[in-house]
Amino acid sequence: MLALFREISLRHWARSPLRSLLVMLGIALAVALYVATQTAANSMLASFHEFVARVSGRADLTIEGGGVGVPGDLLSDVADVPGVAHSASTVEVSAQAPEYGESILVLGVDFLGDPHFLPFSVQEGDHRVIEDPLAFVNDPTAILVARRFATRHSLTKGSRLRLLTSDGPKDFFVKGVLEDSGAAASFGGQLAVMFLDAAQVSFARGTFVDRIDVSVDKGANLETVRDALVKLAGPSLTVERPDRMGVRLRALAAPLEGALGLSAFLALLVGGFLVYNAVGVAVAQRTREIGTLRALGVTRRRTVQLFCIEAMLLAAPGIALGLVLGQSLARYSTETTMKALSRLATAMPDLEPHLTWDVAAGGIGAGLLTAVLAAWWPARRGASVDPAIVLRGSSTVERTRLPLVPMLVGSVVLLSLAWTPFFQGSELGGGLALTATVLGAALATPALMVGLRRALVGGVEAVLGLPARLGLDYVARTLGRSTVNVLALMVAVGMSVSVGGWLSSIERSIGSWVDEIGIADLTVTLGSPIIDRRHVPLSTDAADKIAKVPGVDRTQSYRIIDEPALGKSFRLVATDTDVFLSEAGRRGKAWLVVDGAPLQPGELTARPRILLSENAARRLHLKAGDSLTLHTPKGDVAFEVRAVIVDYTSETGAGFIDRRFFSQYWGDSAVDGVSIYLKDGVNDDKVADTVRAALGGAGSVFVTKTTTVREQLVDSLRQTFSYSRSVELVTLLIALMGVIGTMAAAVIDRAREIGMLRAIGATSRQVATSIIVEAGFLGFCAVVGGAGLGVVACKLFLRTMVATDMGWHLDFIFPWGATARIGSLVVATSALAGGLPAWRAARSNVSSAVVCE
Amino acid sequence: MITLQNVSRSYGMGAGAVPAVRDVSLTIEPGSFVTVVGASGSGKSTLLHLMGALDQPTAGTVLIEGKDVGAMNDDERTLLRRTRIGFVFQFFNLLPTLTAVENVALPARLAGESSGKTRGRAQSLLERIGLGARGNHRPDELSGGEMQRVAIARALMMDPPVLLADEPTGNLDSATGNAILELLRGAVDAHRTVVLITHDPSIARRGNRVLTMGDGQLIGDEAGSPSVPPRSSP
Repeated sequence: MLALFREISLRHWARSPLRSLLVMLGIALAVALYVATQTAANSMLASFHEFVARVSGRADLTIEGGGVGVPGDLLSDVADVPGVAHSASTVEVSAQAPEYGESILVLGVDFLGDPHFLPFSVQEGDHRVIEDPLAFVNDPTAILVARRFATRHSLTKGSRLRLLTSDGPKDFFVKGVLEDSGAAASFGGQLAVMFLDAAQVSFARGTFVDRIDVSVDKGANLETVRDALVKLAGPSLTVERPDRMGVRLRALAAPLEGALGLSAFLALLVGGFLVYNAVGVAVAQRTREIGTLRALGVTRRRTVQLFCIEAMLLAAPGIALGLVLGQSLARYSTETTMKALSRLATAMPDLEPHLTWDVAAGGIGAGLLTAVLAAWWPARRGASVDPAIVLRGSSTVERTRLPLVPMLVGSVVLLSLAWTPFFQGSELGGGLALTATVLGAALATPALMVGLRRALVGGVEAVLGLPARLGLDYVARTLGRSTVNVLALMVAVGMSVSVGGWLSSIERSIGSWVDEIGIADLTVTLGSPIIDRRHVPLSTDAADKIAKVPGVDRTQSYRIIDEPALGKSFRLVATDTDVFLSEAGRRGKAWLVVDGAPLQPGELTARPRILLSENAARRLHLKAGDSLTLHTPKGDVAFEVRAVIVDYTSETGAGFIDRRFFSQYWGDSAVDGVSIYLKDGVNDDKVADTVRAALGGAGSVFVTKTTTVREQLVDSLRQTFSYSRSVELVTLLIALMGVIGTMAAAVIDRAREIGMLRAIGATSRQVATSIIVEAGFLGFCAVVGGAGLGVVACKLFLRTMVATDMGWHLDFIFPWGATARIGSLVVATSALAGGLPAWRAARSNVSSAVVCE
Repeated sequence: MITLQNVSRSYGMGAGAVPAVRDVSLTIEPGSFVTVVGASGSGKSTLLHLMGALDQPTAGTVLIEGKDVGAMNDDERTLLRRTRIGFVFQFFNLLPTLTAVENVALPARLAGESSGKTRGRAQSLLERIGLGARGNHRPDELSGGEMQRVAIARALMMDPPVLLADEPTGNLDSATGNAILELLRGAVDAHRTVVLITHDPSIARRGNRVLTMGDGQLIGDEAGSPSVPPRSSP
């Protein structure tokens, strides 16, 4: 076997450096992506541990609030609970430093309280971090920064650091530098510490803190202390062991872990596809040699083994390259993952990714296995050709005899299964339904190709002549090989159409919703143009400043928090309901009520009443007229469900109450945004400039016209799908490389036929037309199948993930634009991908082609 | 008329060049049935390809109906093959997805003639070679002899003055081979020349001129069977 490899295989691969390179690169790509995603997943896990260690510090228990936070005055009661040894409050804010375009984690801690939990050592080496603690706590602009951050921005004691606060941009002054250890090291130096009270004021926390850390006396029973704290904290707060927080975070990041796993799997599939194509071309080229070897006594199994070993040995340098590339990619993917996680949960510690031995071994194993599996199928096909036929010189063009009818029946069964109620109502069911759909589509692909060929052949021949028909005929003759390519392209098209469908469906629904409720002229937010993790709440003072700007008629403030209720969490929106209802009434708009009577001004201010979005009502099992008890910092308050409305504020559901009750029961006067209604005839640009100036005039003060809010919402949705778009692009590129490989193999297979056609008078252009039409037809089949697959996948997504998880009902809108775009792109690029093999075929030597008999 | 003047054809470059045909000069008159005989590797097929404008000489001149093939570009050579030369191959080379009548009509379709216009002509050619009833059959439904007859009909579709056949009976039993040979002999007329390659001396003797190739050179050029027609029609 080794002799065969040395004397035959190596020479072939050396003579075809491009193809050898393709196999190597295919495997390198697969291994690199595999290693990078696995390393990112490991970093994520390590980050969880780091995060838990950081948030807990030396804490045994942590008290957190779901909505506005933990009342600061709870600390003294906590300290009095028997068994509590130490307790301390912390405010934790991811603040923007607009001058550097960076975010920095700001911890507000109580220097005067229990020093047990301080995130740094007061005495570091020979010097004290804060020379005068009393002066520090009395200075609301005093701040400590981590050494790395200070070095990067040349900050020393006394330097100015501008941060975006709830009153707009504000200058702080560095009073000390933290050494890179403990928390400061966890965040790559992106850490600052200020006095608790200063943090509460600067970031509109009022009297609330983000958490209270508790450590328990050595002899005390942890569960007993926890029970006492739960009783003290009440139902609106959670008391957890820090490791429970890790479990919760892990659950939160489970979809991300799943996505990483899927990416690694897709990477291996892509690499396998490239190897499949490269080996397929090699087999086509060496058919005669295979026949000779078989005639000389090499068994079929050995022939297959020979190709598999070839693929494995070619994969070896690819694997080495993949490991090196993977290490670099890991840095990028870890960063991306951490960013995603920070959006999902909280700022995560910055960890350097390391390629571990087990991940490297996994990458090597996966690379080798992928190479062998991908080479096996074309090698088997090559080895199964009758040596007598090959040596006699007869056509070796594969004549696929696929059992089309049983495959179609299987396809119908799988597609029907995907729509049964059994698969709906859960994420797992949705995933299974999607898998069944893809498999069903795969089984239907050969029949689709045969059907499309029949439908098109007459027209194509009439327009482009007989050579074009011959191209279509050839697809039907090599149905097996062509199907693999069409499937790969189909998945790319399907993804595009599915994402396009989802976007157009949600754009339509959200568009009409925004048209109804987006009635204000301007909206003011800090830190981000929309309410997301980057925005900073405005203080009451800032809201008052806005109301006093000339030209402003009325303002409508809103505060948005996550509120626990009935064992779930939903988005609670506190707003000036009367302002909205009266202004909406003037404009002929309103909240769209789907359950309950239409709303009138005064109805939500008269007594505690709440409006629920459709998805919130569904998740909480409530309807108009029911009562919903919310656990406020001032105690439980029963809100009457006044109506159920159409609303897309949150995928977890939203509830709307009047701000009057929020201030009363939650004691929180901060606002997340302010909508402005202008006086008649006032220039909105002028008012916007005045508002910006009133709030400090920085670029991080966003005064947005309502007309652009819709675009921003849609943009943020598009950004959510940017990852899918890049995956889609990569899939498309890989599939097109596959088309080149397939067409190259087709040209080799058909060398004699092409020679005969040229001999009897086919011009080189006619030969090229035949190849290009064939490649274009592969793309066309993928577009038709992919559009169907995309529509079904999108509908399934809307019915399962969206309807079940988010409770939203979105009507499917066919994405004509996206389909036309990807469709024309795929057909055109497929035809272009056929161009190179076509050019080679057209230039092939006619004499040697007919002599190959 | 086909004329070769000091024609050589080598493959490869420099010292490694392998000569396939060396300094061959000959003239083939219209209406003749020429057979080319020689051992394997003697240059028969290369000679045929040079005569059929499938290949170009590395030295010398090939004139087909007075036109220098070496001076033609690819499109001109294609047009020449399409209209003036018919090819018959050992392995028939029919397209498996086309019916017999479609295979026959192929050269005319490649020349841009419509399907309706060519079908009748192709069908009448099939009838002339005794396959009128098999027009709608695909190649895998035909026997070897039938396939070769379809291939001959295809070669005659454009009514070319030159028919080049490379071992047309090499893949057939002797009875079928004889029938095919008769068909080719029948294609010779006052204006049409048939050049047939064979390694079988008994077949070679049935030509009215027998060329013998050896080591790339023309080592024999003698008269064959005097009984070969010219006939007036195929």
